[in-house]
Amino acid sequence: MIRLEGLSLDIHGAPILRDVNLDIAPGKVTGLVGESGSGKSMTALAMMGLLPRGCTVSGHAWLEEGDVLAKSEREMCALRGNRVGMIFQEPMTALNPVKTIGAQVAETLVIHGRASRRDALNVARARLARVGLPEEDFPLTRYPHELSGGQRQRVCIAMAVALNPELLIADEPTTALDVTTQAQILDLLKGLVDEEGMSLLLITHDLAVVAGMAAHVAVMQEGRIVEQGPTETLFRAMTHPYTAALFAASSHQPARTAQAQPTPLLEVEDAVRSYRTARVGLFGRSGTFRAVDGVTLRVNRGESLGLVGESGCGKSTLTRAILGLDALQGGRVRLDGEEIHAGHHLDTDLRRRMQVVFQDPYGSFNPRWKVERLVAEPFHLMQTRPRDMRSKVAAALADVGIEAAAMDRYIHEFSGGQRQRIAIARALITNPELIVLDEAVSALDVRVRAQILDLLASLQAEHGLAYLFISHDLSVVRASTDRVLVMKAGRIVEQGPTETVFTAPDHPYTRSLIAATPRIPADWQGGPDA
Amino acid sequence: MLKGGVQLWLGATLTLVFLAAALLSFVWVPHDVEALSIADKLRPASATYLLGTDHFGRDILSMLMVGARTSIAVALVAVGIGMALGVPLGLLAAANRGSLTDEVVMRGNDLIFAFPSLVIAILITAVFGPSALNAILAIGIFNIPVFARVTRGGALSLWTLDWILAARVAGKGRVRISAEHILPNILNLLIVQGTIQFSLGILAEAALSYVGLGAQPPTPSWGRMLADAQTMIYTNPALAILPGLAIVIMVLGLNLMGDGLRDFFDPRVRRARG
Repeated sequence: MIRLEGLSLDIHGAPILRDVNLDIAPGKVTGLVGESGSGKSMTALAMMGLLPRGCTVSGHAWLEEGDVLAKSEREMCALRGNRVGMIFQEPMTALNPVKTIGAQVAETLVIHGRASRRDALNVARARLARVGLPEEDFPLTRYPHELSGGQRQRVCIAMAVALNPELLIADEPTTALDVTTQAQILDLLKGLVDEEGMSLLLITHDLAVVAGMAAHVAVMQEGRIVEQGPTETLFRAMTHPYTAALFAASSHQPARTAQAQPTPLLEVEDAVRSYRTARVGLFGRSGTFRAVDGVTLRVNRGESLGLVGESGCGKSTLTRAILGLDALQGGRVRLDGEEIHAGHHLDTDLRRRMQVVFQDPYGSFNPRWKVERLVAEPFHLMQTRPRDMRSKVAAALADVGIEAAAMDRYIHEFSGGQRQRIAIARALITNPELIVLDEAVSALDVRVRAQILDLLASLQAEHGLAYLFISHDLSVVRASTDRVLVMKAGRIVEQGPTETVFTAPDHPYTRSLIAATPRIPADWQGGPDA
Repeated sequence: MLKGGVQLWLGATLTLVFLAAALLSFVWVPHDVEALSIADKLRPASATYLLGTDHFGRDILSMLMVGARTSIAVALVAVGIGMALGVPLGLLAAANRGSLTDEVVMRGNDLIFAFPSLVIAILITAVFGPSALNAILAIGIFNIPVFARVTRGGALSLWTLDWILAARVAGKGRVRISAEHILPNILNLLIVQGTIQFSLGILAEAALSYVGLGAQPPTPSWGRMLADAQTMIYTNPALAILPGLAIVIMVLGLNLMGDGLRDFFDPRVRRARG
């Protein structure tokens, strides 16, 4: 039994964790759920003895070997990887790009003196096969860049479980993965727990993932565990208001009024964009890769159109072509009948009528500019800058629920949700008719996401906007769109009214996407307000 | 802990001392550096001559002060030339990544890099005659590719960010984006590189003056003070040691300041220091 007892943590005097008590049962999955900044990851790092400098810890973290918090760095080195393994969110950065996958898995064994180099490679081979990378298909000599994101995460898991640890900590292990890959990785983790009797601490923001995986769930808010218990009991009861709020937000349905008109606003016809692929060998021929392969779509005035697809399906390339940032090699994009040509010669008035909100609220703004200048940037598209620019910016900010005083502050003073509101204000400032939402809510916590979806719905009703809603998150698209397109390998494989596509998917790919999406069992949905 | 660490402040202090001495030399020096007084030659350090005199009876402290002026002026203008031409070239190359322009700029860079800089500097001064101005030009030309490369590297990583895309959606062209968004965000890189090139410029000027191709007499220069002292190195070692020390300390100060500025501007380092 692994037990956290009264764990408290301060970083430079700021409280991070407060009196965390958690039992992690052997051979079971324990879920730790919370929003960003709630202290989930810090809890994991404390158990690994990997806290950043400037931390003061109190309390205990009992493993079989005793209190982890009382151990020296030297003792922790022996413990890490050996008795406690960890996998992270981003499998790309968790692997060394210049070492083969076999060597990386074997390294863990050699470091802990468990095996000679030759034996270690044999164990690595067996471990990689166990996580679904058999040597026939994935030789040990592969490098991380030759694998997909899901395969890399499998390598990380093989490294973490190479020495049969007592405890495996998985910190958002599937957040960076596509939904079908996520389902496979979760299956793998569950299988490992069942077969090898280790404990898994699954840290995630996604209630649905926990519902399908964990035997025991703890909900964390601002450094405290506010509620914990057996998964089903906890979901049925939801005694703590925070749990109920998280739950409500994760299945939130923004109040939308259908206002789509039958007149087309954006039309894409037979769009084709291909890239040259790298040459194989010095004299090899370079191939071509069709990122967008004959896509035709239409967004009507005032309509919300969803575009769903996994990473690499060509969504981003298509988005850039629609926005006139990159040229197409074939086909046409028209806004209100006028053709969009990529490049700097695009008519500014055409550009004005189409704006965009990006995914990452932290990368969407120049850190050296104040909010007023950031929001006013699209005024560059106007022939003359409006005299009352400042009041226009204030009005746009008011539209998205940000006070006017924010204009004189820098972007780093705002939270992720506030930044996304500011990004929407920037998109609204030129009174566009179409806003492209490129994964605009994917990086947000569930409660913030629900607020932003509500905001988008009310802005749509108020300004008669059309949205092109691009996302890999099916639940978001389902809640917020009138029609949906499913994209795979550069082609649209299915389209139709959102509810029809989701309830009666036609294409096998759509069906597999919907089946892979984790969901909370319908009969668990009790809670105080149901 | 000081922001930027001890090295930044030590380096900045050393640099400022030399800068102050150089500026002071415009209005006041202890003794006139052009007035020869053979009677006072090779005096040891005293109250009148704080660091002693050389073989022409000139005050060494005064010569070091005026020499600092020469070194700093040459290095500063050389860095200025490098920045003024290199930064726009780098921005241009980054804004047109993968295009013919990019290729031409970067291969041109490689070409200049491939020349041994000091030998070419000697060639330039040999052809156009030795003078401080020609030394400046010779050193400056070799600063261009350095700044072009640093600028391009920094700019390329910015061009992929969402906020640049947002600016493009706002209809801004490459020139405008480069000036408004890219340049202010790579200034820290340029300042750090600037201090490093500055110290290299001082070394290069000293080297050129040492072989007689830099500032011409009677303008004092650290490099020529070293050259003049080499015949007397056994009898009057101070004549060689003092200008040598001036070069070493100035360059050390600039390098410390460059490293310190790098830490100062690096948000990761700043966070770790709290």
